[in-house]
Amino acid sequence: MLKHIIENKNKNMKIIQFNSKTASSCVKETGEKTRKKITGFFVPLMLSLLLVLPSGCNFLDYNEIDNYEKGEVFTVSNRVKSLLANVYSYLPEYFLPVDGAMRASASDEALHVLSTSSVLKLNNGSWSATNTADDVWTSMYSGIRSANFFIDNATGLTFDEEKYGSSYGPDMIRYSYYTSEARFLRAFFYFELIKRYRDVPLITKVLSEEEANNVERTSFDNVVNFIVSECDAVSAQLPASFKTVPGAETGRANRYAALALKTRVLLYAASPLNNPSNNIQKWINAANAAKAIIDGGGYSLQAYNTIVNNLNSTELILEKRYADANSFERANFPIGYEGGNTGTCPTQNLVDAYEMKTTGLAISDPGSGYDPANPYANRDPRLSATIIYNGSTWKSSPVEIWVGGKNGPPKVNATKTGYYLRKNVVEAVNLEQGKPITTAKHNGVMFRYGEVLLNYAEAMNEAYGPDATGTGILTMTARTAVNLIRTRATMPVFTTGLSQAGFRTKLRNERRVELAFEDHRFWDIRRWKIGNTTTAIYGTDIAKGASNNITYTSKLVEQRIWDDRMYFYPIPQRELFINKKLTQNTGW
Amino acid sequence: MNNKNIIRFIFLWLLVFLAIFDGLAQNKVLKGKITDVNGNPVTNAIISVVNNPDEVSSSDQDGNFMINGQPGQYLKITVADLYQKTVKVENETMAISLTANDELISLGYGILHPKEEMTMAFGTVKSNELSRSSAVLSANALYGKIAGLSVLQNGGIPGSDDPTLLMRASGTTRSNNLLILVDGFERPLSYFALSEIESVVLLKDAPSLALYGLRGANGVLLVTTKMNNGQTQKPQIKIGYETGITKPFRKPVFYDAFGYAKAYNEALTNDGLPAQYSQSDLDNYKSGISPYFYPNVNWSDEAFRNFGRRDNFNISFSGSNKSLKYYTLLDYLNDDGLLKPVGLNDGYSTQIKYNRLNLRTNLEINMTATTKLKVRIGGTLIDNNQPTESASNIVNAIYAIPSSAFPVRTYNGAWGGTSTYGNNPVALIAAKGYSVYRTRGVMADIRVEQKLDFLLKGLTLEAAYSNDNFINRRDSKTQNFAYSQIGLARDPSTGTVIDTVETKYGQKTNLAFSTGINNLRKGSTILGKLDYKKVWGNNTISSALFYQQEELVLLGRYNTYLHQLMATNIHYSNSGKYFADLSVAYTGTNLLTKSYRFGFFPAASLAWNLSKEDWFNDRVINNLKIRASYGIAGNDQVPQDMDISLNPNATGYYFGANNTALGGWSEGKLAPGNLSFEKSYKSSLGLDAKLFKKLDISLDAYYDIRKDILTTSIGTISNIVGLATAYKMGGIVTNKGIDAELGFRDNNGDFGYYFTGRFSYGKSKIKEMSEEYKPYDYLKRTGESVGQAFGLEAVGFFRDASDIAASPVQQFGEVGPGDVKYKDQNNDDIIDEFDEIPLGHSTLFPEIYYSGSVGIVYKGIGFDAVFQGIGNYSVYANTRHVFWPTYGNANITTFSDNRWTPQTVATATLPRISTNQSLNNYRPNSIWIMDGSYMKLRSLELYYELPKSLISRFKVGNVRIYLRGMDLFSIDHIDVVDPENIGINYPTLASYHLGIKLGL
Repeated sequence: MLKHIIENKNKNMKIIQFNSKTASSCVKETGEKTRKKITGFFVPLMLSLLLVLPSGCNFLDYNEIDNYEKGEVFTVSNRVKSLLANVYSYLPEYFLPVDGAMRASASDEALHVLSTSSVLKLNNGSWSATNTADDVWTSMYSGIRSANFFIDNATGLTFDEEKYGSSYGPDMIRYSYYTSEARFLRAFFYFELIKRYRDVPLITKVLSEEEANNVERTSFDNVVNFIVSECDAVSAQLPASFKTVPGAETGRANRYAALALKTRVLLYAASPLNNPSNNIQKWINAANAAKAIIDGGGYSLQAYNTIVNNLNSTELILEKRYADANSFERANFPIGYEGGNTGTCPTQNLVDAYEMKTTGLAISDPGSGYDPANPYANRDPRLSATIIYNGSTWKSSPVEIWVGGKNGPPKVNATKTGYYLRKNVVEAVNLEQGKPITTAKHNGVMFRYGEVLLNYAEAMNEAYGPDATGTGILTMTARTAVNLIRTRATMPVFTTGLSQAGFRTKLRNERRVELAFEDHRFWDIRRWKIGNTTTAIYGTDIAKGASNNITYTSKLVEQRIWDDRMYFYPIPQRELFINKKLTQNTGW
Repeated sequence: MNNKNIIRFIFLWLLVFLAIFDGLAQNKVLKGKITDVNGNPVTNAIISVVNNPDEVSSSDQDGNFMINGQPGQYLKITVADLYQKTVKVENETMAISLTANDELISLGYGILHPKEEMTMAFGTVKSNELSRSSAVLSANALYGKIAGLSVLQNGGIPGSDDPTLLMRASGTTRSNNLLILVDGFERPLSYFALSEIESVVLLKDAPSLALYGLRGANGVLLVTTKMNNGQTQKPQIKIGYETGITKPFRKPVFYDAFGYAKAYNEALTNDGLPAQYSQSDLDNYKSGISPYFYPNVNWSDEAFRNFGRRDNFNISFSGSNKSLKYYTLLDYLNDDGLLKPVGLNDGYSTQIKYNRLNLRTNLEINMTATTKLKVRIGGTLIDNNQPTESASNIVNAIYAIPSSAFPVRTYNGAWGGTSTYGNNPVALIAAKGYSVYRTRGVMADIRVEQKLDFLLKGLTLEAAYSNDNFINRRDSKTQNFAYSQIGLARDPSTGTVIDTVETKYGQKTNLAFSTGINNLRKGSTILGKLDYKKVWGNNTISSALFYQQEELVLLGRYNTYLHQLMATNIHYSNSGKYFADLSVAYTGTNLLTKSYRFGFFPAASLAWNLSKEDWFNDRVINNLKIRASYGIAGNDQVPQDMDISLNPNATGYYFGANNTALGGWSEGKLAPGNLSFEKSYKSSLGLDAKLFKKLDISLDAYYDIRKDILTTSIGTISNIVGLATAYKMGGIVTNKGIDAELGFRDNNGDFGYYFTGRFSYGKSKIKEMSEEYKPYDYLKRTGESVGQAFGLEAVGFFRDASDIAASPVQQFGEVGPGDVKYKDQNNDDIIDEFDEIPLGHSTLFPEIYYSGSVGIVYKGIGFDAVFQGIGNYSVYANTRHVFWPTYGNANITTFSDNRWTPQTVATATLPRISTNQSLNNYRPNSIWIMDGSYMKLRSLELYYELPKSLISRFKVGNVRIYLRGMDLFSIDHIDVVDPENIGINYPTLASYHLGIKLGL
């Protein structure tokens, strides 16, 4: 087909040449023959120029567009593969999704150091339907269109022209999963939409402009049902792992990615925000979905500080992939390290959530063994894997966050909370001038085994309580599931005898700690409906005394605005202006 | 283009003449004398008897001629392409004087009509007026010279400052580029030396623009190069030399080191942060005690020299005999920019130098009595030397770096710099190598005119062919420089200085060569044309039917432009009183899809010279002509890549253990409908008058409706569609206004004076633009001018926390005292984008464009001055460092003197400064949307023409010595920078020139 296009172009070029030849020969002849009788030849020549030239050639038929028609794309397996790659590219940005900031900075996990990022709108209450933040409406519907376009056009192809090629067999095996992958991605995009906008138009075909202007919202529950049924359908089709598929193209959504999406969607649907009547069956559904992964996935936990940015993690189910980069490091290296600009400042609220390692008790517990003068000693090891605190070692030198220290105020852009982010940041990246600037592999954890266990534990506790098993495959208790996480973290396990509510409190804290900075807390706050309890953001003032003694003083850094309408995002106003059938979420 | 249309066309054209025939009568010998405007005899005028091609004569040295003819016939007097007059033979002896009204005005395609008979709206300027400018690029000589032509200045980089040319405000929300033709063919004006140009004509209304079909709607500028007019057989040599100096028209004045440090501390205090500079730091900056550790660098002074230099030399030779007229010119120009230091490197300079050589030979050859050959060949050779770092980056560094940042060089002689500021402007100029851009171009065209009287009296066949080729090639030698930051090391306990610390950045590299083709241009055009002229009774008809095809190919894809055109213009006059034109074109473009690429463009116009009527009393009003026209012209400037159905360059993804990138494919855009060209329905009324025999007045009023303007449908399609939306033909813009021109000239012996005034007012209105729904009327762009500025209305600055609490919530980040307080337009107690109203005027097109020239001469000594201004124009003053200081390490100028501080609460006109980018303050609002109107003195000239008695013994025909200033001052509202150059750009220039012109 490419050949065909080139031929077409050559044809066009020939036409141009023909014309210019006509023109130049005309003038040349004029010059030569002027010595002879002029009028004799000249008149007929000119008249013929007037009459013949314009009508004789298609002078204007010139087109440089290297346009591919559908027929030229869906007959070539590599092009179909690339069409699907484009659908994958719509997987949401993981590291800096909101105007250069993490979504964590819009929850009580962190605050963002720059006052110009629009992530602040989510905290100061200034966002609205016309002044949106973290608005994925357009990008997700673009992803959905690309998926719909793929599903509509790329299903059931045979690539006849490639039949006798040596790679036809492996190509067709890979191709056999493509539609299921696209359906998974579409379901994923819908989840991104409903967790923000609640009821959204459910579009499963390629729309015309007219159709797009007249769609209506589908209820949250119906979209959930759609996502679940899609996950069920494609999980039956997809391979357990792409490592064994020809080409070993890991990074594609496998069966357990579909099931992991299903468990998360069902967990969200069962949570207080979306399940006000606390229908227990919804929790059971979520638990069943999680258990299917626990039983069949072959995933296992591995050391906590090796989970992120590690494509070989035994825990990893699906990740957002990136080209090698250092933008996240530029945005998050502590100030005072060359090339670092600070960015995400973890909060005291989060730091306080880490329990004492020996006792397993919260620091607020009098018996925990917490020492306010030496606050980071003997804490849950996940603290130092997640957060850089005063005295942490970073790039072989101790971090100085006290006032006047190398990494502390009053430096411009020094942390506002007394902490810097460690998790997801690749320490080895070099941003120092003079040495080669380096980049690193990054991948954003979309689903991992640890989350599945926590989902299971939460669903089981809500359905049956901490120590009970359920029917069918629900043979593991909530406590057993969470203790797998505790053990991996080298923390004391949850003991028996906790009440459902007591377990819930401890589990929520566990989830907060385990999944910190993996884009969960922001959404958990919403589905648990605890928004109004997360508005006071604390940090710590660190002072170095005359005798080099360090004192820590907790302080309120930011009082955020919460309104219950914020449990869901406003639908962008322009969409409502264009399509009168769309309705706005409550309160916006 | 199909046969049917062409046949239809020719048939229509021939039909007009079929009814016309004439008889024969006995001839006599007629005698006459031809004189020009000043009463001097006109040599070499061609006199012919209309409708009798066998009778042709020419005037001698004294303007006398003889020809066979008879009373009642008409004689046509033609002087080159300059004058044409048709007179009825009343007596056997005649005195014929040519006036300004007999000047020939070009409509392009070789069509010329006498000014007196023009039914159309046009403006023109001739070489004698253009030569009063010292502009490097010819378009810069056009400020205020033609009513209806807006010339808007663009920066001052030598050779790169081609201005924006617009006809009559704006007719469309898309491209308003007018079509520029030189000698009838599309060519960039910047390749021509001013000394090459004989005249410039702006075509403004439908009957002239319809001839350009779907390229005419935005106006057509016709430039004609010089040709010998046959006035003298003796070879003429003209020599001109001019030397001048250039200097920045205006430079912003940045704070010195002490001022900057104080302001930065103030900004920090405003942000609630501790000061960065201690009192002793401030004292050190103020005293200048330590230029290395407390530098105080005026970067503008370090990187700009006081004067640039400009030289121009030209020499032309021309002459004529019976069968040949020739004109040949050499023009050399060198313009050296303002940078310094540029000579630190062996073997090359990093100055911005524009060096241009223009060569031209124009010939007109009478091959036989009925065959005329016109050949015009021009060449241009441009070498443009520049530092490798672009001028805009250099100026950005000059603007951005505070005086206190670092010294030009450290005490070790290394370039200064810091981790924040790595772009030492002086090093960017001197130590990054250089580039040379070389343009080579040849423009050639040939035109043959063959009289076909043996077929049909008055019929002429004409063919023309042009071929232009240009290449612009870049040769760069690039290097990097190392720079050092020096600081003081202090004892941590006592704070006393114990050592100096040097931190090194970057690495000096050797010159690395790179080269590339920067631009290419190939243009070729074929024109075939039939002319037919006929006189019978009191009626004259002159008409043309022509076919043209053009090809223009620029560098890269989507840069090929093909056009095809078949058109006719029929001009009719009766008794010298009544005139009419009919123009019809059928044209096509390659830019549109097959079934929508051709269009018909008809137009007609009428004129009536009332003063020629018997009843007209011409005591006060000596001449009065009224004109009216209506017709259609088009605009085909649409993107060439509108139809992309599947895009092979979409975002891809990464798979596999090694994270291998896989390219992406996707749907392109939604397919556009069947798009066509813009159609401009133009109506115009005009009046030309002469009063008191000295005052010329010309007035035009116009009303254009532009339909089928391409709009993006973004605002009307839900994003749920999930794909970039397609273009639609959803725009309608109207444009109405007036052009007025007034000229007064008087001579009284040795004393002469003149005044010329031009004034244009034009207002566009968007009728439709596929605008998205806006909840309040004041938000709508529809109904406003094209380019109308919008923003929030500032009502002052917040006084304190209670003021903030009592005011509507401003949704652009936190506000504090000194931040801009806005008016809540919709009374919803929230200030957001829904409170933006139209402010000022358009930021794209001035509504008012005017100019005035005055001149006085006494005994050869005289002066001329040209003022030019614009009005009803807004600029958005959002330039960092100049208007928006201190945030993100930005610099600060005297513009910010009147900012809000706790002490200036009552008088401040600007908000507080901050180290954070205040999205509340720095957004379109009534503070930054400023009045962009100005009045500039474009040129002022003092000259002396040496008396003939003095120079005649040196065999010199005339000598003129002059002193000229260009762009000397401006009256405006911006003050801190040139209102035409408010961004971070190389400065616009004022210049002073001394020149001499010799005629041998």
